[in-house]
This record gives sequence, C-alpha cells and structure tokens, in this order.
Amino acid sequence: MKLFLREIPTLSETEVEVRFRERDQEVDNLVRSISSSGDALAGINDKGDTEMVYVSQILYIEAVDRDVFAYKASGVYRIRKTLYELEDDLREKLFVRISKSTIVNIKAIKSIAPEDFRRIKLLLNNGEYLVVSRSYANDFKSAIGMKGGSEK
Amino acid sequence: MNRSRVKFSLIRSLPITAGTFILSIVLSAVGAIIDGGLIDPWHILVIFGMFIIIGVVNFFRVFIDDSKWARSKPSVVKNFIFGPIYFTLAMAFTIYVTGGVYFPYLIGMGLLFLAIFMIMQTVTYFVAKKKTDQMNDALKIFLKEHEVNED
Repeated sequence: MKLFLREIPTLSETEVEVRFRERDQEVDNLVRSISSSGDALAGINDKGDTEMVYVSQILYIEAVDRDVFAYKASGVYRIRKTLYELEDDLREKLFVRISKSTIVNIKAIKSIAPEDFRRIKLLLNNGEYLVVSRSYANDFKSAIGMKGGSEK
Repeated sequence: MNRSRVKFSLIRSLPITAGTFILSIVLSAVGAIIDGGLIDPWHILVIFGMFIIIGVVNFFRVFIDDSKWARSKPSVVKNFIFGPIYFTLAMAFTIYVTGGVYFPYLIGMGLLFLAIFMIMQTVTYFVAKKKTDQMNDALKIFLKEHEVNED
C-alpha cells in the first residue's frame, strides 16, 4: 500500500481519497479507520479495562441509574461522562436523543415504524429494538429531516 | 419477571385503566339520564370489579408490548390478541348486569364488534404502513446524504 500526503492550503476541510484495484478487507479497514479517526471515547469494558470506543461503532448510549453505557454490536462499555455531555458532544456525529435515558446513532438505524401512543420503534443494525418516547418523537423526526418534526 | 419492567408496566397501564373506568361511569350516567332510570349502586361495584380485571389485562398488554417479540410485530397483531379479550369481558359484564343471555342480542353484538374491529384494524394497518414508508424513506435519504463518499 502506498501512502501519499499532499498539503493544499485552499481546501476548506481535509479530504481523503482511497484508490484500490479491488475492494478487500484492507480497504474496508482503512475506510473504517479514517471514518472513525479522532472520534473515540474512553470506555470501560466488562473486565474493567479501559478501551477506546469509536463513536461510529456505537449503536446507542443509555443511562442506567447513575452510569452511562455505550452499546456496540460487540459489547457494552461504561462511559465516564453524563448523557447531557455526550448529547452535546455527539450531536454533530448524528446522534439524537430518543428518550430521557437514551441517545441513538442515526447511522445504526435499519428501519423505523410508528408505535401506539405516538411513539416510534427503531430497529437497529444488530437486530435490537429501541423505542422513541412520545416527548422526543418530533425531535427525532426533524433529526432525520422529516416534515412534521419540530424545528430547532 | 424483571422488576423495572413490572414497575414500568404498572405505571403505564394504571392511568389507562383509571381513565376508561371514569369514562364508563360517565357513560353509565349519561345512559341513566337518557333512560330515565337510576344506577344501581351494586352495578358501580360490578363495573369497578370489571375494571380490576381489565387493569390486569392492560398490565399484561403493556408488559408484552415491551418484549422483543411484540416489538418485532406491528401493533395490529397485539390488537388482534387483546381486542377479543376486552370484548369478552364487556359481554360477560353486560350479561351479568342484564341478568341473562339473550342470544340474538349476543350474536348481533358479536357481529357488530367483528365488523367495527376489522374495519378499525384495516384502517390502522394502512395508516401505520403509510407512516412507516414515509419514515423509512426519510431515513434512507438522510443516510444517503451522510454516507461516506465512496466514489
């Protein structure tokens, strides 16, 4: 693999172009690494070890009692931040609040369906279901660009 | 049973049961005014007893709603399970209060329930389907707009 770095002062933001003959595991890993570079949280795994959890790999974040947990497809990590802090930090990374205790990664949503009492049901990429509570349903709709969601 | 799920189901089902209980008392009063009769105090107790049973059914409905099985099914499926239970309870109560079974009335009520229930569920299904399609289209567009440019 060849690596070229070129400084172009006129660019408004950093651009990365990956050229490949065939899309293989190496290319996928490269794309994943680039996508998630600089977007990591320190998370404590079930063994008590601290690991860097890439934001792009987080499906959702949930507050349980006084702890906050980040759920990946492969595991759960305790995060030493409050849900409010994470909500602010991750808004630009396409995370949205769906209930008092949960923030979801919009990119991890596979499908959406309406539920009773104006709630919304989300099916995540890992097959798990989450429910958007009635109070956050409009915010969620506007977050995905739907008409009828509340304007912010 | 998970304690937090039980608590959540109780908190959610109680206001629904209390609300429908109050509504049934008001409707009974309206019926008595139209009919020109008086409500038997015993019937109020019977209504209360019926709503305790309905409360238990509501609790299980909310409890099941929170399960993975129920979340993977459209809400119409749950209505098909619980609708006939509510109808049976209402009919049992009516038979008890009126003091006997009048079969043509029972069959008529059954057919009326079936017709209204089927129409309501069909409408609910198509409204929900339209909303589902709109939401998924919005999600699809949103994800396309924000996906990694892989040209």
